[in-house]
Amino acid sequence: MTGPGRTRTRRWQPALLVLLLVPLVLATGLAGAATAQSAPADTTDTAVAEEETSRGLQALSKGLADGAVTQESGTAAADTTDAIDAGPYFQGFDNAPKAGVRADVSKYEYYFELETQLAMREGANASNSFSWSKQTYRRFAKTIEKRNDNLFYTAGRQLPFSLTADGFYDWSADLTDNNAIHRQALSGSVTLRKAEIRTGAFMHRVVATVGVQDENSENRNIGASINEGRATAHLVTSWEITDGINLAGRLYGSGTAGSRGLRTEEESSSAYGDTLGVGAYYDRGWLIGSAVVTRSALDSRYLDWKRGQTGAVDTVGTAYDDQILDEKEIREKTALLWENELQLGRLGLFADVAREFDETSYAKSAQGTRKNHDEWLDLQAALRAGVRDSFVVGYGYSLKWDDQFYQDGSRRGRQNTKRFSADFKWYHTLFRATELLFAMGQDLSQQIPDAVRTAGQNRDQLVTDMSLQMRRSWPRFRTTIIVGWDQRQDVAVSSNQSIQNNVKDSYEVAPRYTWNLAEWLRLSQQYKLWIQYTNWDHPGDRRQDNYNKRGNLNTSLTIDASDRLEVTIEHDYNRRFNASQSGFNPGGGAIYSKDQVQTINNIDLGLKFEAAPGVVFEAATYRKRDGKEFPQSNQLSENYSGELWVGARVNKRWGRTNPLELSAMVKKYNAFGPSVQPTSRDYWVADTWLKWSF
Amino acid sequence: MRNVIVLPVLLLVVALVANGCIFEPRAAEEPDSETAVPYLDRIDPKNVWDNMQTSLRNIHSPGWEDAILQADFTYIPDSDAESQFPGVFDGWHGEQEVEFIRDFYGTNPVVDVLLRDPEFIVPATSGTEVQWEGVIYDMTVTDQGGAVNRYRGSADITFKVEGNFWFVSIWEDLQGESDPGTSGGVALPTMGVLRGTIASN
Repeated sequence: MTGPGRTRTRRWQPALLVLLLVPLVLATGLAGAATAQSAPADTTDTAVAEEETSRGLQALSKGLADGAVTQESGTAAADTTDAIDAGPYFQGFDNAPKAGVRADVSKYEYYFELETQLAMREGANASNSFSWSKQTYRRFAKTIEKRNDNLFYTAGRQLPFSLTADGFYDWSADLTDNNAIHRQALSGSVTLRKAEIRTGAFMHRVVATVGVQDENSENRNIGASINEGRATAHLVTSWEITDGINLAGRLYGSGTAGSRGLRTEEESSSAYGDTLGVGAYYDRGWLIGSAVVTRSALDSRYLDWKRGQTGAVDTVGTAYDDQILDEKEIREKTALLWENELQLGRLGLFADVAREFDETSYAKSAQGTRKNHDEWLDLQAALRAGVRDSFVVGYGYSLKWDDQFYQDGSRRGRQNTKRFSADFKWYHTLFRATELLFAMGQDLSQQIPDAVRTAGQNRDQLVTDMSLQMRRSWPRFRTTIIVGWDQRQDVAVSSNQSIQNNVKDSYEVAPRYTWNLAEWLRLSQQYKLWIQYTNWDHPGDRRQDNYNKRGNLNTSLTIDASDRLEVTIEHDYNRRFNASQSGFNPGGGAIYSKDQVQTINNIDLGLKFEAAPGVVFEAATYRKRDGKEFPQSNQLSENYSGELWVGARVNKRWGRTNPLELSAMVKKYNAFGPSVQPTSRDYWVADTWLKWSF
Repeated sequence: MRNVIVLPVLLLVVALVANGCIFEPRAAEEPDSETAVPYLDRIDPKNVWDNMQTSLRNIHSPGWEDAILQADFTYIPDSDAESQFPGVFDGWHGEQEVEFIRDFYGTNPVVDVLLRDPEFIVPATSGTEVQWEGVIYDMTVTDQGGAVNRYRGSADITFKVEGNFWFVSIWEDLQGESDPGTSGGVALPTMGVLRGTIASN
């Protein structure tokens, strides 16, 4: 199958597929039209979810329950749309060209956009959106040009079913020398939808789509192409067994055929998939929930690179003719979901239980067969105990595992990831405008390999946290205080890594207030203190018990000097030090020696002045001192840094019926300091555009 | 009535707290050697970046997980990786990064890596946020089946102080870099391609 001899052109295949499938789609539309004689008008244009999940079922079930509402709202909507259902066929043609330039520290970009919209009678609409841009990077040689066009058409209410069509064109090229990367993609599709088709007690929704995709790309002088046609059909049927209880089923099928090319080779490609789902939905007011089972499969054939066990391209050391192969991939997935919400007076109970399993196998790739399993349980209880107190208790469990059977017959082994969590929250109103929140929780995650997976991760992490938050809101004074503690235990179970095991305790205290001293003056202050202790299970060189502290005081003053002038002054004081255990005192207490003490002082000044309506001048500057002391070596370092930027914003609009809009933002930055890169010392930031709507 | 409910609930919580905890980690085996993975204190960005290199060389995910700011981490791929794996990098934050590194190490690879080009001048650390511009990394990965892949790219790395330590907050791959010695002037893929490969599987 390899070598230039097998190069065959099958570009007619997608067209043939589409030709074969168009009658099917039209038949779907005609069936919908026939049913429409007795069914209410298709007033909703809600897209049926085509992804292979169970949500489509839920949507239809909800739609069934809301059917009466939908019909009523449809009637009301009809009244409001009478105006555009009458009159000339073409009701409006709008254009909005827009051109602009953007610049920032890393790149500058020129762009042009053109929005076109043609409105027709009965809600029909055709719109096109074209964009072009060219980005040039400042710091290195890289220029990217992009062109994009999106075309969309909807027939509105002109037909007894919903008809939409779309087309996409996407082109991009990296114009950098020696780095030839370009991509061109064309695609288009036509979709027919018919909802609320009623046959006896059953309600149906049908969606059918045909489309084509033509894509060519080149990456580092290696070409790739896709030329395929695709058709999908989607049927959802729901049965309202009794008031508030629905049963729904979903059938989805898709077929793709065409050709794919890699390098100089081209070969036919195909993909066939189906999904079957069944779900029960209930809503009895105090009891709401759903149970859904979904099974899906995909069988695809395509040209692909030779790949290694991880899925990465693996062509090093492989003969040229063996680097590309015909791949066959089979993927199957099963999902079971149950969601339940029970309300018993002041007590609410919530449950979410699910299990998913999928398997993907490759005929040629060294990946072989991959298996993934995911199951979880989330339980939550919420209780309102009187006016002032509420409690929420939660418990969660999940198990994930993955395994792989390589093409050569060997097995990677199963890696299990388990997670257990429990949390508790207490909301309490202390008195008027003052609230208290107490929260605590524990989270245990475990990575457990099976006996085969000797190289897998084998470790546990237990995180316990507790916090108390109090909020008080007076009309002119708001304050919050947070006190928190958390502990993280890292436990590597295997003997070859358990020397790293440690326990970290962290404490945080953060009071904050905002005080509106006057209409024109606002003061805000926040203090934060963090402390973290690390205790090693097996102390040694580089593993001495240590602690780190950081205190941060931030003060901000906002002055609205007039309706047009706003001034902000901010000061930030930051002090941090690290210390390691150096011994014990006679009483057995640990003695710590400071390794580093860092003090940062930062002052910011910001100004905003509205010179005229729509014209604002802005400026800001900061200056920072960063001092570090190293007590053990008696060394000191000092760094100064700063930045100044000035700029202006203009937002102007001329005309009402065909407005011309100008938006301009330009800022000039100058910065200095040890961590400022050459390209960041002096640069412009801009975003300026001009738009005309007619 | 209120106290009838509130007090028992609070007493139950106090009992749980007094008991210490709800879950327990497994007991660890005694270490069989004194050799630990040599991580540095994360008191400046250079140590954090070197710890990530150490994590890669030792296939030890805790080092990587401790180095990134999990609550506020963003990975931004280069345009090449993004076009190869459309949609994979949407919303790539701390959770996705942790999952990636665990899955990658789970393939039991052998990694030869230099996460910082020797010619890169490390900017002096100042304040609570620092950006390294255009740091070039080079990594060769050999999987269990013997397949060899090389990733070499330039990236902007933003480090931030959170609480007491420095973390990587933003990793933005700029472009693949060529290695004049071995790749014949053709740019090699970035680590975005590795992330995309692992995440899409």
